[in-house]
Amino acid sequence: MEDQTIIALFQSRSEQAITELSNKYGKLCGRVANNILHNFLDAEECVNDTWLGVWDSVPPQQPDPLMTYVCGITRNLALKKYHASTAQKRNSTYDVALDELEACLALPDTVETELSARELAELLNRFLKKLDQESRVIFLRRYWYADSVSAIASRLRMQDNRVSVRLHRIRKRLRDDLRKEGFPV
Amino acid sequence: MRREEISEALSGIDSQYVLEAETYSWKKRRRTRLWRGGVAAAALLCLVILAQALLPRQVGGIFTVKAYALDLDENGTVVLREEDLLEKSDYWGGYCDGENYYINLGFRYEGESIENVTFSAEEGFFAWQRISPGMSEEDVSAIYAGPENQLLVFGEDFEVCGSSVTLEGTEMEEGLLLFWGVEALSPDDIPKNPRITAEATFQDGSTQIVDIHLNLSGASVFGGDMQTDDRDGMPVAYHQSQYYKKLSLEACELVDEQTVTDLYECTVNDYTLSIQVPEREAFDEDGQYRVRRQRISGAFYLPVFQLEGDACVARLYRVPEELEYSLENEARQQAEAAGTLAPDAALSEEPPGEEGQTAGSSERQEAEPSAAETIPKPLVPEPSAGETASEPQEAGNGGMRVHTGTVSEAERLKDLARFDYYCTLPMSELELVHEEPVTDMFSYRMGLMENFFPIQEDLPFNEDGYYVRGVHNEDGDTFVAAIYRDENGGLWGQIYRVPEALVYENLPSQ
Repeated sequence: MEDQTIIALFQSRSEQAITELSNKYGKLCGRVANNILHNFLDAEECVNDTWLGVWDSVPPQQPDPLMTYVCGITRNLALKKYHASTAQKRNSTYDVALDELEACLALPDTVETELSARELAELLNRFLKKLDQESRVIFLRRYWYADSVSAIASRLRMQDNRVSVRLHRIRKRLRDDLRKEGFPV
Repeated sequence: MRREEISEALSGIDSQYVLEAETYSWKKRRRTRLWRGGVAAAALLCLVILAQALLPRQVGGIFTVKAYALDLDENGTVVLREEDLLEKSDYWGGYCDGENYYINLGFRYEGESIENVTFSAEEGFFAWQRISPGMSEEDVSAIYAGPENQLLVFGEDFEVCGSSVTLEGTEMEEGLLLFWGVEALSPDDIPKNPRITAEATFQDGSTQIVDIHLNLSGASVFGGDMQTDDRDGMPVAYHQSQYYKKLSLEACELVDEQTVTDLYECTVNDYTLSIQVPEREAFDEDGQYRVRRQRISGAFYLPVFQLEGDACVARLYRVPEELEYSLENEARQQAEAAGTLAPDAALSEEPPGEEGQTAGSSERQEAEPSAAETIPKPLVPEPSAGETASEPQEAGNGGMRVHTGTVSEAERLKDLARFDYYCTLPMSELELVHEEPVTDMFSYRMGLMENFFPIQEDLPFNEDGYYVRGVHNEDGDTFVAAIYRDENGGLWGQIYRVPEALVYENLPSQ
């Protein structure tokens, strides 16, 4: 079903809306949540909360594209759960991905070098714009979708090693960009 | 920066990039150009870095060198396809005549006012091959490799012409290709970074030089004859692998040492080695993981990962020339080990388990997918351990995958028999533990590993409607992953647990 039709169902408060949304994006949202939480039950809970979140926000929201809106809600819910859980096992794909970025973005702890999340987001968007499309896709799949290296390799029909090398070089380039912007990484 | 802030920042990434990452198609990567008519099949081959000599454009003429791969058009006619010199493929290969390996990248030159061109190689040699117009696929050999089923096509008739060859005239004879080859006991002995120089002499006496650096670091596939050891009939590559696996690192020269996290990179003689750090489960009981040897600029190097506390240290050792593999050195090594444990027939570089074309299995987290497989005739290989047939088969093999190691023939046949057994086992006798509707992808978790299986349109289901995707061992149980097509054409991803009595290793005949 087309996104616009699904949105129309939400706007008319039809219960069919949730069913159609689930059919279209349920699996994707489940994967996004599970990549972060590494727990099927928690991931399922996030997905269900996502439908509620969309129900509560549409209308007045008219998301376009619907996919990123829905996945964004799922991701944020999963992240809340992830950060709140001190007992979270540190073996989820997201853990490993965050470790990589954390090492890449390691700044000395001074007031001058403090980088807010918003500033980093702007910086990342500028950085991503400069990347070639394939590198940008690899970066997003790793750090936004939290896909494993193998999953990315399978999706892009590459070998794992090649994806690892690309990620390594993208992170190096990100560090170089940070330095050019004046951050002493 | 705190992890929460990094997460929050990632959430602020432009939604157009998020959408792009979900909808991006790998097919956009493929760019092929034809030298002659027809429709190209898949791509292949190694990265070729073409470095033009830093000279001002010569007044004498124009000179360029191009690289071509053999391909088949839709009519089965052999065509040449010009390779994008900056496009790297994951797979390369060629032909082995039992002594020499010929890399499947043919060179031609073009230009104006050229008197002659001399090609020379620091290592290896050159060999001619002539591709006649209208040559058909019966005249060449073809192998499908990798998860994309890349088509590798190569001829067999090479005429060796030495490490330096001079061609006369501005134009090369049509259909004539110059290939680089090397004498080697096994594909692992092929240098990773051969260099070729092409020097053109123009009619006015001026010259221009082009340097070509081949990067043979991807996984390779060869057709033809592999060298076998006269003592036991095993591939020479097996003996070599065992030898280097046991070679004392103290006898080698340490050339590099780094603490690593996910990737080890080291540059040796302008060649950059890039090896993914293996998963922790792949290390041996001493916390060590030895990568297969690399031949770089005439020497062998052994990359080794070592767990030291919480860290992982990568070390690169250079093998002294006097310790390179030879029958004498092998005999000496075995004599020194006599009286201790016998050499382990199973290699650390075992091929991955009996799985289809997906990512995510623990066995695929190998350090360097640069190993080679010489496939004995017939050239479209029979499925063997870790490999599946080049054509999809009824039993559910999903295409050919290049070995990342060398195993004994006995091991290969045993693994093949095991996988075939599970492919033919009636699913009704297994315990269904998971089922979900699928469309284009079946993803499932086995232990810590996620598996992703893209579902293609032409999956070869058996008569009961099943396609076995893989067999896994987890926590003492054996599981079979399959795609089931119901009577309405609907697709289901299924995981079955195999009852103990039906596990292959428990069969009375095993």
